[in-house]
Parts: sequence; structure tokens; C-alpha cells
Amino acid sequence: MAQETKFWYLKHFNILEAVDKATMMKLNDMTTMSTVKANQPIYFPDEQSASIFFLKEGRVKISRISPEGQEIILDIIGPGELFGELGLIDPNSDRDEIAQTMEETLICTMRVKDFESLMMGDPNLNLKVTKWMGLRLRKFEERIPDLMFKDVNKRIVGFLAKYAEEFGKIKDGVVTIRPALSHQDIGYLTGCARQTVTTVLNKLRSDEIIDFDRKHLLIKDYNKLKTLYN
Amino acid sequence: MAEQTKFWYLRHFNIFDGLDEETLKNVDKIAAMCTFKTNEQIYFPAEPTRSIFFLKKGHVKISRISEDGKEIILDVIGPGEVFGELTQDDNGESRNEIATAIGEVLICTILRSDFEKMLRKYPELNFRVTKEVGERLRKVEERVTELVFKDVKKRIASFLVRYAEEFGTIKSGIITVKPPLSHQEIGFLTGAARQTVTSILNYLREKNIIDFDRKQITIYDMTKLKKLGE
Repeated sequence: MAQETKFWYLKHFNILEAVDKATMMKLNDMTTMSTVKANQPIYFPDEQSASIFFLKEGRVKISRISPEGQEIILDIIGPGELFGELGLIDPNSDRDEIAQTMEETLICTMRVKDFESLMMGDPNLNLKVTKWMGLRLRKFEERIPDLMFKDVNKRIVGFLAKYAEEFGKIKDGVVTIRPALSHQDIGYLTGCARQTVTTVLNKLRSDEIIDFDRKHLLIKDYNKLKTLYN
Repeated sequence: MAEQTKFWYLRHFNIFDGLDEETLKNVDKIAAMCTFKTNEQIYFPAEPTRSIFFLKKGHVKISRISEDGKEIILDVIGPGEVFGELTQDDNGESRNEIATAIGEVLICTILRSDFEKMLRKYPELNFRVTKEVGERLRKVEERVTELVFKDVKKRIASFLVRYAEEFGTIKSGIITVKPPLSHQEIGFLTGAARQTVTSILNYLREKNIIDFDRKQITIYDMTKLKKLGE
């Protein structure tokens, strides 16, 4: 890919918003960019965490799999975010997650060591990374009370509302969210069985609150969806 | 409190470990000390988020109350740890968490704006804060995962393991953990009803794996406890 294009992408990164041009140039030299097709793994559990990734386009899901084969999706990463940041926190430990693309994805890879030295040289970048981690921390903390106190119905509804806020586009009062998640994925995100997700979503559809097909998830009545959660 | 003492205290914060004298002295200049009695609140919901807290002595529990009045404990923090919102903008939303002293608590506070200035000046410190937030992120991820993968009994067992690893002291193979949490609090931490906590703890006591009274939790058989939590 042409240098010009690569640079343009970096400029539009959220996490790099506050970064000055000099850092941006350095970053540009340190990263390799690659396109990954949908549903491909980017890293596996037990791999060494020597690299860190920036997501430019597309979506990546981060999951854990239990010894019994149960799965939980911890997070869905969108453009402008980092992932695989474990190496920054604990360079010697192995990953315990799997990262997979959900659609065609454009990813920048860099060595943790390089990114670390970049952060050391640019306090704004460092603060930005901390803030981003703090935001993710909050996102996780918010899931705890849901998992503890809310029934599956409310967990699914609450998830849809949050997912719409993060990734949805509004047009004429209707929120469209792409990529549409499979019912299985929504189950992995909310801690319930696929069948339960299907039942809950079908009910929401027949009440004309949402609609969905394999490619889209539409929220027709966002306010009602939120009311159902509370 | 004598300046010298405060300086000494700062030196024993994990986040300041091994930093050079100059950095430490400068942090010391902008820090203020205060003490709290047991069960006293350290900050309140809806209070503007302006300070960072460094916990020197005692323990602090960070909890959140849901709209319908239910409590969850997000974290129990021990000496050497930092809390308060490290990651927000000055005009950010208000805090919706409560920090409560467990036992006598000695805290060092720094205005967040001052602290941020320090971080910009000392890249090493800046990077450590990132790691600290990152580690907390991992802890929360772990808890979310456990809520989905593990039943109550396993959650309580693995909570006790983590709690002992974090705050316990070993003597002749027996681990003593202070502060003791009430069964209600362990419930708030693991998403279990108080009665369930009590019956599981009693079961563990019968099996000679743990013992507890109002002052401490004792762990006789860490290996067995670990196994039960897996």
C-alpha cells in the first residue's frame, strides 16, 4: 500500500488523535499493515505477547475459551482502537485470549518494545493509551452487575443498546448496526445459550422493537429497548 | 505529619518503586495526607472527580450501587495501590462509585490535574500508570469471565485464592488473610447471595480447607482451594 494512504489512516485513529506529527512518522515506520479476511484468527491463547495491534478498519472480537470449550466474547474492537495490549502490561506472560476478525479487517502490527519506546517519548500518546484502557475498564465493570443481577432478557436487551451506541448508525430514527452478530456471538457476549438469544430476539422483532437478517441488525425503537433494560 | 514521613510513605507505593529521588520529591510536594476511620466513605457518588488517591495503610473497597439499590464490590484495594479515576477528562462525568475504608486508612491525595502534569514530566511514571490500569483491566476481564464460566462454588473458591494471594501472609504453611470480609461482602464480590456464601464457607471449613472468624480468614489448604476454584 502507498505510504500516503497508510499515513492518512493513522491520522484518523482515535487513539492517536493527540499525537504529534513526529511521533506519527515514527509510528508509521514501525508498523506493518495487513488486510485480514473475515473470521480469521489474529492471535491465539498461549502465544507470546510480543506484538500489539491497531485496528484501522473492520471489527475484531476478543474471546476466551474455557477448558470445557465454553466461550465468552470479552470485547469487540472497532477502528481506532488497540488490541493485544497484554505485552505492554506484562511482557513475559502468554496470551489467554483469541482474537478473530469479524469482517474484512485492516490491521497495523508493531512490536510492543517499539510502541513502549514511542510512549516513553510522547506523554500525550501514553496518556491517551491509559485513558483508552480506563474506558475499557469501565465497559467491563458495567457488565459485572448485569451478569450478577439481570436475567437473560435484560442482559440481551442491555447489550443491544450498548452495541448500538458504540457501533450503530442512525438514519430516520432507525439505528443500523453492522456487522450483525450471530445469535451465538450475542450468547457468548451475554453469557446465555444461543437458543435463548434467538427466542429473545424473535420476541423483540414481533414487538417491532428490532429487526434483523444475516447482515444487519436494526433498532427501530431505541427508547423502548432502553426501557426494557431498566 | 512530618515531611520526612510522607516522603517515606510515598517511596513504598508500588507505582513509585525505584523511581529517582527527584521524581519522588516532586510528587511529595503536591500530595496531601489524610486518614479515615473504618466504614467512612472516601468519596461519594456524583462527587466531581478531581483527586487521585494513594492508599498507604488499611484497605478500601470500591463499590457501585445499581439503580435498583443493589451493591456490587468492584475491587478491594490494599496498601501501595492507587485509586480514583485516573482516566477521565476534567469535564468528565461524575463518579458513580463509592470508596469505603476497611479499618483505619491512611491516604495520600493528589489533584488529578497536578498528577497529570507529573505524568507528562516523568515518562517512566506515566508508563507505570498505564500498566496499573492495564492490570486492573485484566482483573476485571477475569471476573467477567468467571461469572460466565463458573458456578457459585467455584467463583467463591477462586475469589478466596486471589484474595489470599493479594493480601495474605504465610506462616508455617498457613495463610492468614486480613481484612476479613463479611459474607455479604463476599457475595457482592462474587455475585452470590449471602446465604450461599455462608453455606459454601461452612462447607470449606468442615473440609478443613479454610477457617474464619470475624477478624480473619485462614487458609489451611491452598492447593485444594485452588482445585475447587478451577
